[in-house]
Amino acid sequence: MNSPRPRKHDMASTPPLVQVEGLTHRYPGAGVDALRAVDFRVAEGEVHGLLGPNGAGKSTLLAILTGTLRPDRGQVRVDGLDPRHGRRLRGISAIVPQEYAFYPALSGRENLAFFGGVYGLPRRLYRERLAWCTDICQLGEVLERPARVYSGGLKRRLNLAIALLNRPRILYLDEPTVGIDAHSRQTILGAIRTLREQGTTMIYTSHYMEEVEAICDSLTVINAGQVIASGTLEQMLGRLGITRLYLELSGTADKQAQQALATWQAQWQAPDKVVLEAADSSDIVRILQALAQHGLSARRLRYGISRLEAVYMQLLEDTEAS
Amino acid sequence: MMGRGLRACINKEGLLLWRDPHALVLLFLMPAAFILIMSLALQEQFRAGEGLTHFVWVEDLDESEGSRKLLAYIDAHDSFRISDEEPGDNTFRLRIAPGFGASLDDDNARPAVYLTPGVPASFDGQREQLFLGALREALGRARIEIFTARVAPDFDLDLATVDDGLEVRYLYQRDEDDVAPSAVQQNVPAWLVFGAFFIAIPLSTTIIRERELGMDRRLRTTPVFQASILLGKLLPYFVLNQMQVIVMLAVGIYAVPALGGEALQMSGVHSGAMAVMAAAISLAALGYALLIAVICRTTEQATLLGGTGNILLAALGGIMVPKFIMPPALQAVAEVSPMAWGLDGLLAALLHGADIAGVSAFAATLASFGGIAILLAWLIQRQRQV
Repeated sequence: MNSPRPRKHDMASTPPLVQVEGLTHRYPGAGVDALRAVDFRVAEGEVHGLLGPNGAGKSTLLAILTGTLRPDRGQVRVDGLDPRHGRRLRGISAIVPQEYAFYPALSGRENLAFFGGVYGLPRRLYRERLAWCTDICQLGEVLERPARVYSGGLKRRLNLAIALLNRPRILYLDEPTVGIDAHSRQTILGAIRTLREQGTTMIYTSHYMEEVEAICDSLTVINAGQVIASGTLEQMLGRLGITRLYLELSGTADKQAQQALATWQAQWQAPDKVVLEAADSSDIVRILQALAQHGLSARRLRYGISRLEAVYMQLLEDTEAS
Repeated sequence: MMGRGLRACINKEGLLLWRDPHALVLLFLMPAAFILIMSLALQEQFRAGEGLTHFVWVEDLDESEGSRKLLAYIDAHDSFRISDEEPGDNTFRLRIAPGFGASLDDDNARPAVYLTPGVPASFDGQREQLFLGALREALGRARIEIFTARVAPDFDLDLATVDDGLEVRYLYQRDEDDVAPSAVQQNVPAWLVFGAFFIAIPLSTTIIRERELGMDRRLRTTPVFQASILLGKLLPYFVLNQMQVIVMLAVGIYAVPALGGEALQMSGVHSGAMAVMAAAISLAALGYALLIAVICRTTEQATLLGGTGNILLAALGGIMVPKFIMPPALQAVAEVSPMAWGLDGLLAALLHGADIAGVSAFAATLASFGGIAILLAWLIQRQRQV
């Protein structure tokens, strides 16, 4: 097995592994462009989220990045190569498509063996990779069963395991957790975190903002084929200038307690539930201290969750308005 | 890479085929059943120089030498036998009136025989005419014999053993070793070609299903050569076609005679010519299947187009109805069907003992069709991918 690559911390100084410039594509017979002058860069070791509503152009962009679709205009370079002519590139990349792209009539092991051959893995290396990817995707117990009897979650995990068999330097994930149970979702997210730690560059599309926020280093938001925002996660979250703190209190807040929290633009959902705007951790400490002064404490606290969703929705609304 | 990728594709396709019992039934049982049914049903129609034997039940009210001679000549005919058994559906009934024998020797008398109670309802007019012709021939011979005995009593004349001097040769016989086109000799190659082209259904539906699953897109993101993917898909079906050839020939050789039909004659058949034809037919069938796969969007469309297309090509190409009984205009149209090229090539090998050179024109036409179809399918697919 390849040794894990060190995660790159200073991504700004790293030359981009993926570079997209002025990418434009219109499908034959379509009235509008599927992509229009799309630019973005992804550094090696970075996990880049590709966000956008259905039909925004994410899948078209992935198809171009993986070399299965030729753009009308613009330039794509992945590791310095044009994906359409980079057989070497296909040796270091893999895609986890949105569809269950494997053979339902074959068992998990037979599917993996087929892709092992397709990736050109020698027998010994294949065995090592098989052990690694079935472990990381927790497929060991179901490998001999026909894939058609797998649950939705197992199918998604097999879909991922097939891509991992190539031990890719760059991995494209097209909504890899859509429509599955919590256990399978956590398994897949765990696998992605492991890959992230090992330095795999990933381009990740999802409609689950918590996932994107938890996994991605940088983001590009596309709407109607155009990039409407791009940057690091911090930059994107900073766009609204707020972060939200959800609190469930140990008791009911009286008027004085409510006044004390008004500094943080408190929105009371119930006498014991409030949403506050806390810019940073020192704000959170101050909020908890204020609560303590009024004999209250936090029974449940959520911070940072769905922050990205708020930014994303705001971006889409701004685009619609303009 | 080519080796590993190709091997993986072949293994995968083999497994998928093995796990598709419907396809295997379609590809093996269907043509085998057609061979058995059609060979047995049509075996009488194909017997050159022979027809059905009809029985004649006789009520001889004359019992003269003349009536006995008449009956002997009828019995000597290829198609009729005098029978004492109770008349059945296949039996003519003949009554010879009293005075029949005497009338044979009287130039002015008209000998009387009766078909009674008439011609069996199951017989058509042609059979009745055949019987009346045989009856007239027997009557004439009996009269000649009696007349000869009167005018030259010492001359020993037996017309039943006289050679008519007629040499019958059939157009299909190019030389004396050529095998007659029996029902099995026509039906085995015909349904073999038909069965081989039926791979169009499982092969095209597999390709379309892969497209629906997103497999083709995923495979194009892997380092495997496109040629490996294509070859890995086609080679297992090519092998399957060759297995079909072996099984269908075995059905003709062993199963048809076991059920009362004639066995397929393989003596003198050039195995190299058969192998070349089998390969060429397979290539044409594979090209046809690929073309259907790229033309059709859904598996339902492919099943419909593959099935009806095959039946149309078979009807045109002399598979269901032999070409030689088609009207000339239709025979000319039949030449556009690849199944006709396959059938003609196999018949050349099976009936005329053609060698590789003898079937090369048929094989080349089939291979060209297959090659062009594959190229066309590749171009259409390529255009769709960009």
